[in-house]
Amino acid sequence: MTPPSQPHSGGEPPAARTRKTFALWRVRGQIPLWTRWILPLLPLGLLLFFYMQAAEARRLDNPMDKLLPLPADFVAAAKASVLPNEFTGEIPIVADLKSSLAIYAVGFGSAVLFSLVFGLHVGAWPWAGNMFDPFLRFLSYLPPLALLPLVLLFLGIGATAKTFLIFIAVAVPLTRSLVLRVEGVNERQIWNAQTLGPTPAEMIWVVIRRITEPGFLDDVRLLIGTAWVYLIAAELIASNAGLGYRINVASRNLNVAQIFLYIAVICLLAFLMDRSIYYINRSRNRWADTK
Amino acid sequence: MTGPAVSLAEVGMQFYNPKLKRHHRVLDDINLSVMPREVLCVVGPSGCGKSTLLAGIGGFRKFTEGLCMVDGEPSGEPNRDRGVVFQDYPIMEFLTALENVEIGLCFEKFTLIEHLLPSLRKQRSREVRKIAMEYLSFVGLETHADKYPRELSGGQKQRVAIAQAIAMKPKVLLMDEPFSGLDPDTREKLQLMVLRIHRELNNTIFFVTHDLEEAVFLGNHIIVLSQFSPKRTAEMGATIVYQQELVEYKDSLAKDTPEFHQLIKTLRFHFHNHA
Repeated sequence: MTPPSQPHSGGEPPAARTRKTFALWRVRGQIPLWTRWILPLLPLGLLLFFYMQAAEARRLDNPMDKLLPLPADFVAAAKASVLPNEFTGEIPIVADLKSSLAIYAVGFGSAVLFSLVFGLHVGAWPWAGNMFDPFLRFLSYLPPLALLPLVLLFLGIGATAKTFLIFIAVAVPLTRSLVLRVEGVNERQIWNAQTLGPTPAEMIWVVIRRITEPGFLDDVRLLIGTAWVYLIAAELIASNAGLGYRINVASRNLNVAQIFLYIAVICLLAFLMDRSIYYINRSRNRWADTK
Repeated sequence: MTGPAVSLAEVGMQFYNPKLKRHHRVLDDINLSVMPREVLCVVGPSGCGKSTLLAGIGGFRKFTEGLCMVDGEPSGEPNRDRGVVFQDYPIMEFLTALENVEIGLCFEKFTLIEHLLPSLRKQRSREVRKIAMEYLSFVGLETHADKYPRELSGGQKQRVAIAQAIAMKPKVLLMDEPFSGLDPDTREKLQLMVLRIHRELNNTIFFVTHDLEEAVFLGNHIIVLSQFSPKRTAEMGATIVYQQELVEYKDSLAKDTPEFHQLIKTLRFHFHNHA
């Protein structure tokens, strides 16, 4: 066998085999510490910058413009939201939050609880899986918002209808996901546990629940946003209280600043919920790689 | 106890593969009796059905033919009498090493409510913990008691799995290639530990391996399973092609004796001629 010809045996030195690359320009590499805070703020900053440019340009064009409010309008909207109503004495934003969060808590909480119990058992008992899997799959194809007119007809425009809508929207995907997680538990792990003599209830509630818990809580986090979507949508369409209702009213009054403000409040709430479940997950399941 | 600890009579197993629409036979006509306090080693080429045989004896899978008796009773559901140690250490990742050993004792002592609300069982927890700690120090892991499995090395995880299994004092300990993922040094230590367990617990060990040397070192009854017995056709599953009872060579020096090498040679002959 002849050795491969060496292209650089002549005059010029061989090219360096390790390339020096810019820290950010490495596929799946480590980014330097100083960028960790700046990079996440950059998109938001850019958005704010362009928004301000556009808003000021519009205001110069038409001093009565209402579509792109300026900071002063936001301050006014915020003041209007926290000052008590002159007739009822209620603070508008507190009343709205109370109404929306009560529905959210009951709907989301009951959905999570239901999914936990139902999903664990449907996943753990093959006959239950056989019985409910097709039904759950059918339900998961169903867009919950398409149910809204029916729900409004049956349950009225009050809190019950919205609670039910959130329940359906969250419980179906959460249950399905948990069923898949339970069915995906390593069979040898189940076998191994069986030789330690648990009762079926202990098998489900002590072993399988703990194995699937980190994933389940991650699913819960993902569905926080979904629940908000359906709550706000329902409130926009038919209601007489709540954050979505207020957005609807503000939209009719062309009070864009208030809409923005309420959207920010919703985002903040969802963010706080997400973080709190994340930290609960992390502290309860230190054994798992929670991201 | 006079009868065999495990006895298989004309046992076979076949699966139906719905995608290929055909039956797939894994085990065929296996007759075997394992006496109490025997260390039975099953060797055979990979994929021949050694693990399936173990799963059948453990009650994890059902044999489709024949009769499998464990301790004089038909092998039904898995239970505490048949401890198991698998190759990939499927211990409970959400429990620490100590809690993994405890959990079996907890299942024995506590109700579901007491499992979910540990504050209800303070005093008795301490007793259980003490017993578990003894088993954990038996496998030499007392200093790693509070570590989660993912903080442990493969060998340490396997030790936890062994401690977990023997804490139940099983009559039959099923081991499914327990040491094949480990480095030679750890493997030898754990092999000696298996012998120590056998001496102290006086139980029956059903040990599946593909390593002939390991089988000769640990076993005093070796069977060779083969996918290809002389009479075999394509539809047949693995069956026992060779059986040998051994004198015991049970210390670390045994590996150098001429008898040891002679035995391995004999086994290798059968292993290759039928596989």
